[in-house]
Amino acid sequence: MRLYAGVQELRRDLHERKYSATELAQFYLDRISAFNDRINCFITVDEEGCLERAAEFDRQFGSSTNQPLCGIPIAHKDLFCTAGLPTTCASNMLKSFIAPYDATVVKRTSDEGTVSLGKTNMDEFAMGSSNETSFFGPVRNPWNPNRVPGGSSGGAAAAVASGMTPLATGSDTGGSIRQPASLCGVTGLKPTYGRVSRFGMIAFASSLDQGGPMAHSAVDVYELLAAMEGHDPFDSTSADVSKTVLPESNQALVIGYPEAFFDGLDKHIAGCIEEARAKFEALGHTIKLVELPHVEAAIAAYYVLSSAEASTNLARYDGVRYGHRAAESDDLIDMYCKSRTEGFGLEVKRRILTGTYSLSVGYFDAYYLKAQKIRRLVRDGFLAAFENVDLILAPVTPSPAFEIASLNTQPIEMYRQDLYTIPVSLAGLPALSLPCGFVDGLPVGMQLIGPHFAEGAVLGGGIAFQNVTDWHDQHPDLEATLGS
Amino acid sequence: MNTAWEPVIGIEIHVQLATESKIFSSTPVEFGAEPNVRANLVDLAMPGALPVLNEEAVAMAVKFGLAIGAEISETCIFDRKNYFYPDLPKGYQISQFESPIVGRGQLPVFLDDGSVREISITRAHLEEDAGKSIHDRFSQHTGIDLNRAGTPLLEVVTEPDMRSAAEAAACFRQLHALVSWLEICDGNLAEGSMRCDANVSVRPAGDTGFGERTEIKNINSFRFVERAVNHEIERQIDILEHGGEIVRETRQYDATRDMTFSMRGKELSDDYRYFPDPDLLPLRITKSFRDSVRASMPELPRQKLDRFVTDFGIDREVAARLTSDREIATYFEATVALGAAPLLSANWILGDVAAALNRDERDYSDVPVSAQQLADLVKRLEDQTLSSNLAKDVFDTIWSSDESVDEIIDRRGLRQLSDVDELSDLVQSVVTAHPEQVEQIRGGATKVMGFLVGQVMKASLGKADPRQVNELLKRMLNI
Amino acid sequence: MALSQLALDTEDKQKLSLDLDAIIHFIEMMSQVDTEGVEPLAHAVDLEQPLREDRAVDEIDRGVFQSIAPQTADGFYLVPKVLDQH
Repeated sequence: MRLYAGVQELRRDLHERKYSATELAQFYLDRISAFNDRINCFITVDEEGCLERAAEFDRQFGSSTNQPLCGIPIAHKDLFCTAGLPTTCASNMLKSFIAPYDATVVKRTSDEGTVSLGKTNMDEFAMGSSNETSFFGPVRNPWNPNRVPGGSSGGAAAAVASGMTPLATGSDTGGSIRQPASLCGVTGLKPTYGRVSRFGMIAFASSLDQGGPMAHSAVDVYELLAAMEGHDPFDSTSADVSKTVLPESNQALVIGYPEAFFDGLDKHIAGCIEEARAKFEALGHTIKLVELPHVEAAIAAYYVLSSAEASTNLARYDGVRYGHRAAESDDLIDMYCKSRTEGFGLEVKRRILTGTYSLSVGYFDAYYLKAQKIRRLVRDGFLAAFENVDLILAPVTPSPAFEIASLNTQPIEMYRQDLYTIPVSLAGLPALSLPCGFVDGLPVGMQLIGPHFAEGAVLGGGIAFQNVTDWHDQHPDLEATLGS
Repeated sequence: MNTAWEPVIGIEIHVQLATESKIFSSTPVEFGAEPNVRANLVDLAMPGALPVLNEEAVAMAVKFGLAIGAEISETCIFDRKNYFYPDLPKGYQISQFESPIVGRGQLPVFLDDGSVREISITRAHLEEDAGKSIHDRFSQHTGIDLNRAGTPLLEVVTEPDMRSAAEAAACFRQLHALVSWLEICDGNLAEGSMRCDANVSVRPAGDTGFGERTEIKNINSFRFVERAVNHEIERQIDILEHGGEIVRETRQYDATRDMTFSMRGKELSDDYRYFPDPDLLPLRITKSFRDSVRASMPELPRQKLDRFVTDFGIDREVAARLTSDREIATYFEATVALGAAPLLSANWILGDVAAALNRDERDYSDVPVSAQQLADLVKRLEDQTLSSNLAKDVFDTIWSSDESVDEIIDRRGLRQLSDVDELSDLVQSVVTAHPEQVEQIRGGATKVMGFLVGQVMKASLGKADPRQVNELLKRMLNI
Repeated sequence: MALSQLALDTEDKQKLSLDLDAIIHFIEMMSQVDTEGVEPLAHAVDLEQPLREDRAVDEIDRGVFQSIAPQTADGFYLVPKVLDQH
């Protein structure tokens, strides 16, 4: 069994009976039990369920199975509802919540044969860029435990990066897959809004949230996307589009280069992306400068819109039907206030208050509507750029992984971490985050952004790049950094 | 009623749409089930659950819009109305704020004095119902039942066009008749299938501005609307005449105590922070959707009205009353289809039938006289088998019996005496028996004729036609 | 605060009000963008609301749903008595 093996290798080995699905699951469970106490990337490890299901596959392997991910382990971000297993959203509010149903993503990946190892840590209700807002404590970056893994899918990124799972689901609202993938040196895709069902994925900001795959390579990301994607009649915003198809190899592309994204970017990161750009040119693609307007204002607009939606999405946590209820209360209002105040962490409260404010009478036009108008300008800017280019190459983060507790008291600085990912989210576009180098021993990533529903082109670009580079094949030495 | 003040009333009706499943979930809609057995993931607002719009609810709203001649939105939006209440599971209600599915339309309302008033419908929009809070079952707690949460509602809002409580009640009744006609609501007021809110203000008679208004919530019968609004009008006039001011507020009507009282404090907030629900997308209503809804609609009241006037040659006003309620129209059409004369049938339906229904507190959906019985009765009147007096007699019989009209006529020998010879004999014997009265008539006291006619009728056991008797008497007495 | 049903203690209140001032200042940045004549955009991908066929599915297990509820009795969810009734 090889640590950091990809899906194709695992599939082949399982079919050739080099090891059983049970042995494979046990391999990852051992890895989790060796390092999770220090990385903290799992909130729930489902050892029993995982081994039971792997054993079931081992019994079935005799009869041929056509499930493409049969027996391959996966970890779900703890905002995908899983029947019978806690789904906490990393919040005190839901710390003992057992969902009565499976999210569509969980059901589909399970139908494709994956074996779930458990649920990964995250920022509370997916609000955060460092995984420090989790009720279950921060996740640590496997490359350096004093650094953050990014967020909000920090647990998923760290689990993949530390070899605790080959596949992980994440969700991305303003960068929550791409930024942690970049800071942990893994590959992650934010699909087009509507590509992956949101049913059963606990909402942060409904018009932006999108589930997506994280793995060791773009090829594996594609494998997992194929299991997650597709129209879902239970999600009104789910698009009825055909499945992602990878392009024929080596079509010459025009790749856009947004100069505005490079102002003020850490020069070492800029250097890594320059190198990647040269690689693309060497692959026969053409680079073309593109303009993307209102990048700065996009963060503010994103913050207003996502907080507004979150403030009402989180109104259902009232201590009546599920979730935390305060032990003592004088009356109904007191019960609401105490339950919610005890149940939510500071960042969640901050966003609820901001969101409530921006939807209030008297502020609605200046904040909420204004933000929606900027959203149109940002989206239309991308659509205009895609008139002339096939893909856009951009940085993911302004710096490599920062130190734990260095930004968590400065909300604005924290929000600025998502400067390069937010405009893409507002525009609802697919974007792949993939490793493209190291700065001070920490991985950095880049984004390949495509037009709506052009996941095939985006992944094709990523696969071509990873065929000629090995950034994605470099892994942290946990034994050395953490001790075994 | 104090004539120094003019009441101004607008109403809002919540119409529960008669769909199989809820508006945003596949839960069956059912009244009276065990608590919370009709609430699924979506209705309970489980984390991660999402709404998907019911096509039939949209079709029913469009039906209503077409029926009142309103503009149907090509694109409309669903909004979140945010407030905390334990029977509102998501912490917001999905409703339509800025872009209702149905725009402005008109509703002809038939008043008790026979006149018709055109009431303007401002808008109608789709929304979901909340659950129920049960306050009196547990000593320390309020119980929450979410079976009703997510039931589709069409909220119909009128302009403040009504000037009396009776008009408000009539408008409610008319909307009830229309949604029943369209079969988009079961019309069951006792189960809350239609609930009325009334906005009431008063102004000095002759003024054109509006006074401050109050809203009376959740009235669920026609009678209570009239009573609640009258109470509120009186209360407001009383305050104003004593130099007070009307406070804008929500009030509730208590039917057992027959009064309205303030619901101050019930609303936890009045800043609902409406904004488009990001879980739902813009709803486009295409021409082909509208056309298919139109094709599935029953003939509308006004179309029927026009047809009754042209096909049956009856008065517009009579036709309007016949088409004010689908049950009446259906009954009328069935009667006429069986060969009864239209005008005579209409007179019976709007006259004797209506009076009897009223007396027995029934409505046209369960008239005990079948269309066949009524048609036969009308036919026997027309062919003069029955006198009008005996027809009423037969009507009373068939009101409580399935017996056919002809059987009754035969069994009781009620066939009108129209044989001239037979009748002449009767007249002759009456004239012979009353020489004194005959003398008086010949002396010019024509009023006494009535007495003789009555005697003949009596002798004929009511089977003679009084007009014919009158003729024969005159001829016999040479006057 | 009332609209969001949060009751913050003094320390949180202080911290959050400083943050909120900074956040409001930050989002005011939007006013620099000229949005004259721009239509608001609610969703980035132009999709239309799908409609669900009106078919009822009865698959509700109240026991399962209520097993995760803080307080229930006789099938009802319980909350502290609401005293706004007459």
